[in-house]
Amino acid sequence: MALIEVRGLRKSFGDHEVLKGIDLAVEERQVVCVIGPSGCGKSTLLRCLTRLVEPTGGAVLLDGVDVTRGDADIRLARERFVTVFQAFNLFPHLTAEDNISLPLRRVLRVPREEAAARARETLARVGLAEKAAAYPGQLSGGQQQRVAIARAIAMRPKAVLFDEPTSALDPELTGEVLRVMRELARSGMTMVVVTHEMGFAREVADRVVFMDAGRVVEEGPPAQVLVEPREPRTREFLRRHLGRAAEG
Amino acid sequence: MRGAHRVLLGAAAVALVAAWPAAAQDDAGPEARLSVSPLDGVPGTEFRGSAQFSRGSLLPDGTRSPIVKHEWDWTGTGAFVEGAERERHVYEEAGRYVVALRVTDATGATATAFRNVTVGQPETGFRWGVVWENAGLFWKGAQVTLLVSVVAIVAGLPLGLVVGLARISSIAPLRWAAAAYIEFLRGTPLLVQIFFVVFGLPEVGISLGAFRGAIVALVVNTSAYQAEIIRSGIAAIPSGQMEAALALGMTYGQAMREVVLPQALRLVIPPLTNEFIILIKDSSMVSLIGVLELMGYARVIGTRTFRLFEPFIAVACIYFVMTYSLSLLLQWAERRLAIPGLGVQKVAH
Repeated sequence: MALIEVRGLRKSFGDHEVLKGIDLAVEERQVVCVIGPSGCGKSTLLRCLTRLVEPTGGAVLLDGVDVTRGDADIRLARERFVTVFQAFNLFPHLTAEDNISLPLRRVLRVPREEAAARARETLARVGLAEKAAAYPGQLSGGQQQRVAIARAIAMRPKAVLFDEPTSALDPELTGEVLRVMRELARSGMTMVVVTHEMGFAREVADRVVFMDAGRVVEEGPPAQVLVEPREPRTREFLRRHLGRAAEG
Repeated sequence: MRGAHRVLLGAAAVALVAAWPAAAQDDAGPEARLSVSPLDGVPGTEFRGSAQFSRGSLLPDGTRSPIVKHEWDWTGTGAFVEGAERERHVYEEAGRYVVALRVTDATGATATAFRNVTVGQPETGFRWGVVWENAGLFWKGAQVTLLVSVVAIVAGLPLGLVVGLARISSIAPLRWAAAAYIEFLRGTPLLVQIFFVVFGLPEVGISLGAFRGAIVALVVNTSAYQAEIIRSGIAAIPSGQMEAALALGMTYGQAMREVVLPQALRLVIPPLTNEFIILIKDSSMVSLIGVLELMGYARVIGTRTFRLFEPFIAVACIYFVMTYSLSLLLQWAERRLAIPGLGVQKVAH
C-alpha cells in the first residue's frame, strides 16, 4: 500500500478550478518529482496533501489514513508528513537550533536537552553545525533553506514534502540545497518534490509527474518523462523550459 | 489732512464738555480740585496727586484768596498729613482707596476733594513658591496617577490580547462580540464610560466606588484600543509563519503563542507605547469624579491659592516626566528584544 495516495483530488478557488481530479501514489522510500508550468496546480496539490489548503473534492490517504475526512486528526498527520517551503518560513525570532528544537519540544514532546542535541545533530547533517546560534536574518538563503530542511527531518517524518525549495534561491546557493536533498533521498526518505530543477529530477527522482492545467498529463521514470516524453504537452513544456535554461 | 482736522475739532469739543462743569461753577467758597495719576496701579506704583487747580474763597475785590495749606489723606482713614501742592504715594497693599485733599485758604476756609484709586494684584511675576509649598500634594497626586495608569496598562494588555485574538477567531459569534466590544468602547468618550461605571452601574447593583470603578473603566477602554493594535501586529506577520508552524504539526494555539505573537508583539511596541502614554494622560479624567490624582490636586491647589498657571505647569512637567520615562523604557525594551538580522534600519542605504 502506498504511503501517500491521492484519489480524484479536486480544488477550486471560487469559480477557478485549480485541481481537476488528481490521482497519485507515492510508495515508501520513493522520490517523486512534480513538474509543470506556473499555475498548473502543483503547489496547490502539495498543500492539499496535508490540508494546508482544503481540498474541495477527492481523498488523500496518508499512511493508510484518509485525512480528508471530517474527523481526521490532520495535526497528527502533519507531524509525520512535514513540508519545506519555497520561502523557507524559518521563525526569525529563534536561532537556527531553536527553530529545530521548538517543534520537537512542543509537538513531539521531546525533553529540552534531547531536543537540543537532536537539533544540533541535524544541523550538522545539513552542514551547518557552526550556525546553531545564528538567527535566520543572519543566514544566506541557501543556509536558511538547509535549516528549514533540518527542521523538517529532525521530526523523523515518514515523508518530506518540498514546495519548490530552490525557486527563491540564486543558482549559486541552489547547489548546496540540492546536495542536502540528494543525500536525504539516498538515505531512503520518502520525498515529494515540486520543482523546476530538471537536473535534480533526472538524477534523484524515482518517478516524475508532469502536470498541466490541473491534471496529471504524464508520469513515469525520469528517463521517460524528461528524455523521451510520450505526451506532446510534456514535450512542449520541456522544450520551452530547457530551451530557456540552455540560454540562461 | 481732513481727518486730522476732524480729530482736533473732536478733541476740542470733548475738552469743552469736560471743562464745562468746572467753568460754569461760580462758587464763592474755596474749592479743592484733586487729580491723581494714575488711577489704577499695583503695589509699588507711584501715584501722583496734584492740587493745582484748587482755589480759595472769593474776596470782596473779586480775586480769590490764595491756598495756604494742603493736607493729604491717601488711605481714606481721615488722618490728613500736611503736604505740598503736589504729592506722591506708593501703596504696599492691593485694595481700593479714597484719596482726600483738604485745602485751606488765607481766610481759613477749607474745602475737600476725593478721588478713588484702585491698587490691583501684581500683574507680572510668577509665584513658583506655590509649587514648592505644595510639593507634598503633587507627590501624592503623582503616586495615584502612576498607580491608576500602571494598573490600567498591566491589566489592559492581556485583556486586549484576548479580545484581539477573538476578533480574528474562526468562531463567528466570538468575532462579532469582539468587534462590537471594540467599536463601542472606541466610539464613545472615555469620560462617559467612566461616569457610566462609577455612577451608572450602582443603579443596577454594581457599586465599585470611584477609585475601583475608574480603573475598571480605564482597563476596559484601553483593552479595545490594544486589541486593534495587537491585531494589526498579527496581520503584519507573513502567513507563511503560521503555515510553517501548522505544517510541522503545531496547533493553532501553539503557533500563535510560540511563533506569531512573539513576533507580532515586538512589532507593535511603538503603537502600544502611544496607547500607554495616552493612558497616563487620560487618567487625569478620573479627577472629574473626585479621585484625587495629579490633576485633581492641581485644581485643588489652584483654587486655594488663586494661582492656576503655576500648578498646571508643574503638573504638565510631572506628566511629561512620566510619559517620557515610559517612552525611554519601551524603546530600550524594543532594542533589547530586537530580532538579530531583521529590521529596515539595519540595512545600510
